[in-house]
Amino acid sequence: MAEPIVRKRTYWIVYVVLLALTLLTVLLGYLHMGEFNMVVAIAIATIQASLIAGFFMHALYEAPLVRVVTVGGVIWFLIMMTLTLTDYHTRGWLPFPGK
Amino acid sequence: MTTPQAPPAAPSHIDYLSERQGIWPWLLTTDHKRIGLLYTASITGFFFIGGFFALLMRLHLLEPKGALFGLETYNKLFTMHGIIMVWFFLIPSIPGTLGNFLIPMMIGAKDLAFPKLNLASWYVFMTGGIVTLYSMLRGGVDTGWTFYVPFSTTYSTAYVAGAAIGIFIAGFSSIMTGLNFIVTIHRMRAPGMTWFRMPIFLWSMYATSLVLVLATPVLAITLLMVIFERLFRVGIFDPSLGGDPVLFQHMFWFYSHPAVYIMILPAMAVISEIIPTFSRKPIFGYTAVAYSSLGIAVVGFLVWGHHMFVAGLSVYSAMAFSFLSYLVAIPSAIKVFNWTATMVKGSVSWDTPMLYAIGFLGLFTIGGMTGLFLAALGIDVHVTDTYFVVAHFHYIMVGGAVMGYLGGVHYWWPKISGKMYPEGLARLSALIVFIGFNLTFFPQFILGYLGMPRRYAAYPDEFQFLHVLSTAGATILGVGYILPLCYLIWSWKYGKPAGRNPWRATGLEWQTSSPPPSHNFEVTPVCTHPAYDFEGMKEELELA
Ligand SMILES: [Cu+2]
Repeated sequence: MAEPIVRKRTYWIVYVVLLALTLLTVLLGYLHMGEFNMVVAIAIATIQASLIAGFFMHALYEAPLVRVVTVGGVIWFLIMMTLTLTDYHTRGWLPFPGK
Repeated sequence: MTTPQAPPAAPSHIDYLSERQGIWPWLLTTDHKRIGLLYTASITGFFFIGGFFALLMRLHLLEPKGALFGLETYNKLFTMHGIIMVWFFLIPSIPGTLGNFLIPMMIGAKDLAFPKLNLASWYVFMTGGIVTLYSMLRGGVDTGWTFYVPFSTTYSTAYVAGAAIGIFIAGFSSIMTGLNFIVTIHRMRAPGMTWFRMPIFLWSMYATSLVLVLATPVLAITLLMVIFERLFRVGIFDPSLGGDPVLFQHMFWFYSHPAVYIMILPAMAVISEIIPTFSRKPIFGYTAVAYSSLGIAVVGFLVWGHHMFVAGLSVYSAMAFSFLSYLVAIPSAIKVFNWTATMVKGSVSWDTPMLYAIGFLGLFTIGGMTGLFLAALGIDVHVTDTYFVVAHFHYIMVGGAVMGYLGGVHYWWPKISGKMYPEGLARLSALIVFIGFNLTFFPQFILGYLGMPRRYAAYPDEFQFLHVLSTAGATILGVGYILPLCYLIWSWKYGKPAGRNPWRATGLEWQTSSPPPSHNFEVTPVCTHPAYDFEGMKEELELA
């Protein structure tokens, strides 16, 4: 498969966006939002990771099957996280020790 | 002056076995069939090593206080039995041997998509196996095959890191094999071989490969974390270092439950070929059977919490995992019912592969149904970590996976070796395996229900009768496994020539000579029939 031609400008724009998002993460760290600090930080990190995978790792320019594989990997990671968290986040809901 | 051109060389009919002899042409081969045989030899060796440990354990348990070993040695025996059987026999068994041999032939290709990667996978597998065997010889491992923390990271004084590194290495061979199969099935199918004309074997192997690729990396990371915490005191699982011990179980079973499907899906692949051939009927509900493999592969990733019901898993999480575990029974049941329906009004014959297939049907059903007992929260509390669990998973892994493997080896042996094995002896040993297996493991259901814990080297006097039955069964089972080894090796040299298609089966692999030429087919085959089209191919099959 021929290598896709991506303009240098695109890389620079993505790079600047990534830096801006990092700055945003740092600044939001100073706000006190309780549990939402974590939610926002992870949301921003997810956007950053997607930009890197999409542009720098060329996932966006690959054949459909390769994109399916990439997205599949992410979905399986989310399965692992979500079902593990069903445990950690529901502990202590019952009025018995250890439940 | 011109010399007349030499006549074009006649197409070579040299088969893959008699071409280039000697040790190097075998050790450096990229022929998927030869690599399949390399795998066969290796996993057979591992199987008998692991089986030897099992036999020692059963002999020890003849007496309530234990007949042979100290407690520590017993711990090492069941650990090494588990590690070898799971990672060095069951996981690579059918994919490494029959999968390697058959996938390219069934889709009408000359080889897998990446022949060199295939050879590399065998070397990586052997490296992992040797590292693990070496740490066993140096002193053994005593954690159980599950490597539970904190014992494995903090307290065990055995060679935990060495064994874990061996398994870590072997994992890469799983990933290479899975990747190779996925790409091959996507890219290398012969003209006319559409997805829904593929034999069910390929659907099942495809689903297996997906699980191999998606699950194995998680095991690798988990073992690496165990090694890091053990050697460098990095806080991952140890609460005093800020870690969480239950996290280990989440990550371990995220791999190890799907690993059960890495073992059983390939056996289902084999059964789905044997039953139509010996019933002379297309498989009942092709589409449902094909999709149920994918269903098992996907839903199998959502159920791992059922191993942790008494390990501190929260109640709500346990309820979710219990429900999802029931769900995974649906695609398995679809297969069992459809295989049975395939036999209805078929012209059933009782050749050896079919005996193994029928045995599989019964034993897998018992194994699966007792799995539902274990998915029920209330019953699980009672039987967790007892012989009930041991019996359950041996019904799946030995009654299911090993029966499937043996059935497949017999079914494709004429293709692999070009020879027939002695049918009478083969039927007899299939029967011996079935009887020995049930005598070994059925008493363990009762033992477990009565409260016999797994991994104990001693037990109360009143359990002795059932333990003795189980040991007696194990010796019979041992005979049932040694017999095929002997007569298959014998037939390699002295068996009757098999011919192209001794079972009058429909797959492309039967349309080439036995043993096949190096590149499988003299001309690239064109697939013109749906799978299992016994009616449509009647004339071709009569001529075979
Ligand atoms: Cu499980």
